[in-house]
Parts: sequence; structure tokens; C-alpha cells
Amino acid sequence: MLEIRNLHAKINDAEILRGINLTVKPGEIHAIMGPNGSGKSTLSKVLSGHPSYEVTEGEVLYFGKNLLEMEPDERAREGVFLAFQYPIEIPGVSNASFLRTAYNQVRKHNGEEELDPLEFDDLLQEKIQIVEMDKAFIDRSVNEGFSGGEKKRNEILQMAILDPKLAILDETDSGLDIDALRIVSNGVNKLHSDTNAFILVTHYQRLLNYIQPDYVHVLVNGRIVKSGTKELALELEERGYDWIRDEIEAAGAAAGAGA
Amino acid sequence: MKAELSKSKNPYAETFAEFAEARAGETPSWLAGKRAAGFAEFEKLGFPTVRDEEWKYTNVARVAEQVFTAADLAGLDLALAGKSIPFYAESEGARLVFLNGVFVPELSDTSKLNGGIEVSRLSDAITSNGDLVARHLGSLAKVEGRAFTAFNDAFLTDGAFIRVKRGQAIEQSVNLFFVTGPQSDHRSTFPRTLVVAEEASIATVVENFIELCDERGRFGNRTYLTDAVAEFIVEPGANLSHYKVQHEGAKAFHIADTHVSLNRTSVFTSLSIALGGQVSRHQVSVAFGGEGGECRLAGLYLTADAQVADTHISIDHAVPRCESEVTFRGVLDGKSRGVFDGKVLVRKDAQLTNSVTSNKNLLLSNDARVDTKPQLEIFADDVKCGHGATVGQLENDEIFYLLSRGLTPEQARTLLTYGFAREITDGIKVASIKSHLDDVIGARMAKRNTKAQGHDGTKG
Ligand SMILES: Nc1ncnc2c1ncn2[C@@H]1O[C@H](COP(=O)(O)OP(=O)(O)O)[C@@H](O)[C@H]1O
Ligand SMILES: [Mg+2]
Repeated sequence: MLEIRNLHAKINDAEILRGINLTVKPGEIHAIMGPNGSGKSTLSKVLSGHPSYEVTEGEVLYFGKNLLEMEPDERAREGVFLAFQYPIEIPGVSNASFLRTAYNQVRKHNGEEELDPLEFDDLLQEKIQIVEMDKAFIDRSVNEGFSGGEKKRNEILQMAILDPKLAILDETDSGLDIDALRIVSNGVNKLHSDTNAFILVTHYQRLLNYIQPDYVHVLVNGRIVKSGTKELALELEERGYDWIRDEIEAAGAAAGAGA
Repeated sequence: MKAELSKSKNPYAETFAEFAEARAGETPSWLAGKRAAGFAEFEKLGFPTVRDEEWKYTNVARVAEQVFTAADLAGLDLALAGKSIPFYAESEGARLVFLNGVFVPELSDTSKLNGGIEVSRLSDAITSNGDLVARHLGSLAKVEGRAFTAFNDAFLTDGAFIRVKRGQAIEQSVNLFFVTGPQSDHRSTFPRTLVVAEEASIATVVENFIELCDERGRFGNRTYLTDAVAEFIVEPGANLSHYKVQHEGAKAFHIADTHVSLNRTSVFTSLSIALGGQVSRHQVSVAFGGEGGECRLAGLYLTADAQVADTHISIDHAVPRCESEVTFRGVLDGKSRGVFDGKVLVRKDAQLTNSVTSNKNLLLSNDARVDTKPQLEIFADDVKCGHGATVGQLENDEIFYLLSRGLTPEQARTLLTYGFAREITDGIKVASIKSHLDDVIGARMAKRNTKAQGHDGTKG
């Protein structure tokens, strides 16, 4: 469903993504790991269409369509979802009205009937159980005064409501205690099906104890430098990223010597 | 040039002479004197110009350059008018209606109010409560240096009188409608409100200034002037809530002067909403006269096109241990302009004063503009005072967050605008006003969304 080819992107003239290649098929779970500043959030935001990033090279196909030509809201309605690393607070906008507007927008896009507030409330009550969130959160302003963990759970609630085809979770596990981590992972596992796919950006192997990825990729300096299976994550946990950097440098030197 | 101007006669001189003559011999005699004094001051001052510091940003040259005549009821279908007044149904049993400046008994109805409160037209109160009216009318709204207040005094004929009796708590809010209807082009009205909340009483007063819609709900396009004055006397321990809804027509001029005197441990809470008018101004002057008083003024101005909405607040802390809180929000679109001037004076004796002023503005277009100036003048040393003002646009990251969930840019902006206004709208306890405001915001956003999107103001 997703095909990223040689993707380059920059922000404020700094090139961050330097040739990403990645293919994601329905039903798959991909984990992307990598040191701080390697470009994981940049990749997530480029895929969801954040206007601050400029794609300078490469292409991204989403179900065969040029994703990069689609507006951010269009991408969302087509089933792309990003759980933000740092969900922002929106004072004055209630979670419920925001979610209902978003949900109905997606329904409308799919040619389905919009739900009225009462019908939507039923859906909300059902989904809120997945993230074990207090119902009071529904009427509060989006993320306002939420703790870090509550914000992350709210992202998963939004995901559960919107039921995306491609969900990108940007370090949703960071800063979560064990309980919250279990809830978030449960959410992902419940929503996962053979028609949707997940990209889990994570720093820690521990998330992968709860969610079984099909592939693990290592992003360093704007490129995917290594791909493998779950074992790669374990190795990274044990050995850190330095050995990969060394490997790349060695490979680079070898390539340089060979030329 | 200047000499020539001062020689030229005030364009209202003849009208006033006729007006005064027609009422010669009317009782009480103090009223005639009051009008004459008002006109004399108005004649002396003339309309303010932008050279006047207090009117620097609000140009009323277009008021000065035409002559408004007194509005009346000629040719109006009263029953139809009643049906078109917003909040009309909700205010059943507790309303006074003035249409084109004239009291309309057929539309007014105070049957649901009990004996704890007197609500009547001012002209009746002058007879039935003569001493009380004589004592209070104009006791706060002084004409000196205030042209529009003087203008109102000069042509004062009627208005609303409310007396909340000692110790009475009135649950039902009292609604005053100052409605301008058809046949009001180049006409003026001079609404007047006098409220006396006696000791330990509780009440809510809603002042509505609206232009009548036609049968199809469309607002007219009439150029008229509303020159309103209101006085609130809040006696010891009384708690008075006030709402002012200004939804005049798009071409109207609306100038309102609100005065409040707060006595010992009394509370005044006001919420002022400015939606209409090509130029509107609300001046609120508050004076604390006894310890332990509390005053909360909030407001929202919502402007588009070439509208100008001006808020001038002045709070005088003359005595110790009083609290004032001023919270105004503005949402400005098109080429509209907002003006906020909030002065808080803390006199030498006003120790232990608490005062905070906040004015935040959201610009929805790059052409909108706000001049905001909260000011504090403090002469006491043991006080807690603060003020702040911001002018900004919608945050790109907030918009992106909403877009990333599938909302259209229009929906995102609308939702964020509602969100911004909620700091004020959440404080509205009268359901009909709240829903009216929600409707207006929704309609404005829908209208702007059908226009070209090209020059929306956003920032990162
Ligand atoms: N607004 C910006 N201007 C310039 N550089 C930026 C900006 N935002 C992020 N970067 C840089 O881009 C790089 C990648 O950041 P990011 O994608 O957030 O990394 P990760 O999510 O992998 O930690 C970092 O070096 C960061 O400093
Ligand atoms: Mg990141």
C-alpha cells in the first residue's frame, strides 16, 4: 500500500531525509528505530503532509497514488494517520466535537452517512474502552492539561475512531509507564488487521515485546541503513547504534577505496 | 478653518430647539434642564475626531458628516417586528421593547417578574419613582467631555428603568430590547438604561441592541446611529449581572456608554458582545465606592469586512480591598479593526487591590488589525495588579493537527476560532445568548469559507 522511493526532504534548508526506501504491504507492522535526530519524526511528518518540510527528491506511492500531491487532510481521509510524538494542546476545542468532525469527514469521504452527536457518542463510548480512558476526557479540550501518557492514549483513541489504513506511530511508547504501554499496545493489536498496516517509530525495543513487528528498520542520518526482523531490535537494544554506524563507515570506506 | 468651524452652527441646534419646545411645560422640570445642559455640552464639544487621544483609532467622521433625524414607528408592523426579534420568545414575561427608539407596550411584557423588582419605561418611572430617578439618572454618566453622552442627554425621552428591591433575588433575567427596524435610514435613537440594585439584591439584566431582520431573516442595510447610555448603581452587598449584545446592522453606528458604581461588597459582572455596526464603541466606566467590591468585565468582539469595534474600559479603584478582572477577546477578519483600551487606576488609598486585565486577539486575515492598550496607573503600594495583551493568528501546528485527522482547512479554522472564543462564550449563562453567538460565529466562518482563501492569516 505504501512505497517510498529515494525520498529526500529538507526543513529550513537542512536536508534531513537523504534517500529513504521503504515498502509496506497491507497487514504488515514495520518498526523504525534509530538514534535521536536521525529523521524519524521528519519521515512521519513528511508522510502526513506537514507544510514545513519540503520534498526535494523521490516519490511516495500510496495505493498506487502519488501521496505527496495530496493535501494533508486528503491523506487523512484516505486513511493515513499519524500519532504525533508531541501531540499539541488545543484550548477551547473539545475532544468530542473535534473527533466527531474528523470522523464524519472520513465517513463523508467514503460515501457513508454522517453520525449525529448521539450516534457518535455510542461509538466513542465503545472505543474509549480500548484505551481505558476516563469518559471525562471526552468533554475536555483536546490534550489541554493532559499528562504525557494521557496525550498518547488520546492519539490512540483518535486512531481507533478513524480506523486508518496506514497508521504511523511516532514514539507513542516514549514516556509511558508499563500500564500505559500495555494499553497503547493493546490498542494497536486490537486494530491491526490484514487490511491495514502500521509503522511504529520507536526508540526502545520494549514496545516490540508487546507488538510483534514483521520488519525492523534502522534509520541513521536520514537513510534506512539496515533492515531485518525482530531480532535486529534485540541486537540494537543490546549493542546500541554505534556498531551500525561503524558498519556503514566501513562500507563507505570500502566503497571509497574500491572507486 | 478652525475659526470657521466654530462659528458654524451645530447641525442639531434647530432640531433640539423644536424638540425642547414641544416638551416645554412638561414635568418634571429638571428633565428639561438636563436636556438643555446636555445639548449645551454637545454643542460645545462637537463630535470627537481622531485628534482626540481617546478617539485616535475610531473615526466617527461619518457620523459627524450627516444629520440623523429622530427615528419613529411610522409604517412598522409591530406584530411582525416582534416575531423577528432574536431572543424574543425566550424573554417572555420579562422584557421591555423599544423599537426605533419608541417604547412598544404591545411587545413588552413583564408579567413573569414578581414584586421583588420594578421594571418600567423610564418615562413612567420619572412619575412613579421620581425622586429615585432624579437622584440617579446622570449621577454616573456625566456629560462633561463626552459628546455622545451629552448628545444622549439632550434627546433623552425614554428608556428602561429597573429597581431590584432590597434583599430580593430575581431569577428571571430582565431583557431590554433596543431594536432598530425599517424606515430608520439616517435616523438616530438614544437608548437609556437606569438600573438600581438595592442592598443585597441579585439580578441579571440583558441589553440587546439589534437591527431587525426582514421576514427572511436578512439584516437591513440601514445607516443609523444608536447612542446609548446605561447606568448601574450597585448598592452594598448587591450582585448584578449584565449582558450587552450588540448586533446592530452592518452599516450602523453604535456608541454606548456604560457606567457602574459599586458599593461595599457588591459585585458587578458584565459580558459585552460586539457583532454588528460599521463603527461600534463600548465604553465602560467603573468606580468602586466601598471596600470589598468585585467587578468582572468580559467581552468578545467579532468583526469582519471593514468594521471597527472599539472597547474602552476605565476602572477606578478609589477604596481598599476591591477586585477587578477584565477579559476581552477579539476575532477579526477582513479589513476590520479592533481597538481595546483598558485603564485601571489604583489610587493611593486603594490598598490590597487585585486587578488583572487581559486582551487577546485572533486575526483571521492579514488585513485585519488591532490596537490594544491595557494601562495600569498605581499609586498604592500593597496591590496585586497585572495586565497583558496579545495579537496573533491561528497556529500552523494547530491547524496541521486538525488537518492530519481529516478536517478540511475551513473546518480546522472554524473549530479553532470557536475554541479561541470559548474563553468568553463559556462564561455566558444565558443559553439563548450563547447559542446565538455560536450561530453567528458559525455563519461568519461559513461565509468566509465560501470566499477565496488566498490571504488567510496563519503563522508557524
Ligand atoms: N525546524 C527545523 N529546522 C532545522 N532542522 C530541524 C528542524 N526540525 C528538526 N530539525 C533537525 O532534523 C533532524 C531530524 O529530526 P527528527 O526528524 O525530529 O529526528 P528524530 O525524530 O529521529 O529524533 C534533527 O537533526 C533536527 O535537529
Ligand atoms: Mg522524533
